[in-house]
Amino acid sequence: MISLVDVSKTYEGKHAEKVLAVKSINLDVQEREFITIVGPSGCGKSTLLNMIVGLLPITSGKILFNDELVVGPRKDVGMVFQRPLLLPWRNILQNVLLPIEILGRSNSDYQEEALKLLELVGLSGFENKSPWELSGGMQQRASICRALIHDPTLIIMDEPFGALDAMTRDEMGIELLRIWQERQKTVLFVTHSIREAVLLADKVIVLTARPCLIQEIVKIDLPRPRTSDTEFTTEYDTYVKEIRKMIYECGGKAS
Amino acid sequence: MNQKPTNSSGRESLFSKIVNLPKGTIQNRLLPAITFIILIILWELVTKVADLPVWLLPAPSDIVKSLVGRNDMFMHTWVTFYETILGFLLAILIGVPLAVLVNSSPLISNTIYPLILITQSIPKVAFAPILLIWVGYGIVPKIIIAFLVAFFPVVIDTATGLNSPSPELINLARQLNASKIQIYTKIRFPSALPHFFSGLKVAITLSVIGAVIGEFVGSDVGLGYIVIMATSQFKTPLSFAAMLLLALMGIVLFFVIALIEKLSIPWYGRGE
Ligand SMILES: Nc1ncnc2c1ncn2[C@@H]1O[C@H](COP(=O)(O)OP(=O)(O)O)[C@@H](O)[C@H]1O
Ligand SMILES: [Mg+2]
Repeated sequence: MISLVDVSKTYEGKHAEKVLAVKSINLDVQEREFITIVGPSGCGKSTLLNMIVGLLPITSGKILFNDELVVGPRKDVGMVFQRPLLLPWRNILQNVLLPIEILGRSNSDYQEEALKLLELVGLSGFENKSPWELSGGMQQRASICRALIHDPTLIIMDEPFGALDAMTRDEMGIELLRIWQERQKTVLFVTHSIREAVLLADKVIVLTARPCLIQEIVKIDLPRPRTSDTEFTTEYDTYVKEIRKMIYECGGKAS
Repeated sequence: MNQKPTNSSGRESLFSKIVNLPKGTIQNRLLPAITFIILIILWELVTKVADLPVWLLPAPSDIVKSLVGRNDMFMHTWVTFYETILGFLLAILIGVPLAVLVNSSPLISNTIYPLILITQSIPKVAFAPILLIWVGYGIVPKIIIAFLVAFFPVVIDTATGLNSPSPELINLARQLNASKIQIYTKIRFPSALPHFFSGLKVAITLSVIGAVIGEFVGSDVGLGYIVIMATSQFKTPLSFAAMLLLALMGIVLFFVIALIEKLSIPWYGRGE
């Protein structure tokens, strides 16, 4: 569904110096795959995501999305960030419907779908609440609904649980897997937690920062559906150790 | 769930509610009022006991007395009031589009900002007589001065507000091919409201000062004229009375803006 061929990104710094953020990466993403991208901060995770969805021009190489060359933003993408970024002057339902309004479609056609999504993430009955009346975890669930409302083929999530407390975070991971299984989306999920990356993924892309710029893809063959019990298996531990080693040998320090 | 914390007395004073001050207990609301009253009484006592001449420092009672029978003060207050309001509205009318321009591109911003800064750095008192030569006597120069002092905070604060949404949120809209207009109407303008209103609160008090500066330079009507006229005739109590009315006008206008703010952005200050 998505393929990256020798994709690189060099930023032009303020003083004409060049920052190599992503070095010739090759990647193939299948439809409905769950891909996690793990690595220390500054290694180019967000840069990679923004290039794939067409928000950021690439320096060299090419990106294909459903056999089309990516040249600009694609509408069939949903986005979730570290902060929920809900608009405080809109209630939860109106926040979920924001993409529909931007796309110029009719809110009333999507009202039912929005309520269904809110039910899917366990927010039934909160549709008329204001964002500030919800906890951080609940707000993040609402923002997942906002990412899904226009039925995109790809969801990108940039450290979506990074601002949540550890317990909520584990719970959200498992819940995300349930939503993913039900909605059949392709997911690109950035995290700096190796454990989270392994628990969720079909494939983990391991990135490290300069100078060594490792880019490895680790296939995770753990049975699905995965639960919190998955974390107690030896296979799981083996993957975590393998990835941690890759990062540590490079001097990085992902958690 | 994050709920707004309530203080021990469970109520906010209208003042702290409107001005977004932290809520306090009864004591720290009462204290300023008592201090104020004591100061007034002290002022009255000192002037009477020391038997100061009223043209040097009038007692509060002399100030009040100077207003008795002067029905023309309503008219003077009214004139200064509408000069202030017109200057202030002009500041919004011109300041907000300017803020959008500043926000829309770094190139425009780099061109406009120095110009705005120059207009702001020129002393208005020095500029007022020149304005008089250009546009003549009448209310126009007063409105222009009020506008000139008021538009700066409007532009700066609105531009800051327009720039406040997270870049990620703007990316989310861009990903869906949002038009510039959509990004402004759905995200930037509403996000800018809290900053916009803080700018307005500063601007309205400055507008009053601007109108008075305009009246100082050349006028035969308005509270600024009264101050100049009364002082030159040693009618110090009347001069104080006019200042008091100006202060009151500033305070009332400030509270009106704060009230509109409260009503139009009830979501403000509630976290994300
Ligand atoms: N707009 C930019 N201009 C210059 N350098 C940038 C820019 N954005 C990111 N970088 C640099 O590129 C590298 C990768 O950034 P990023 O993709 O945000 O990393 P991550 O998301 O993994 O923390 C970092 O070294 C960062 O400083
Ligand atoms: Mg990042």
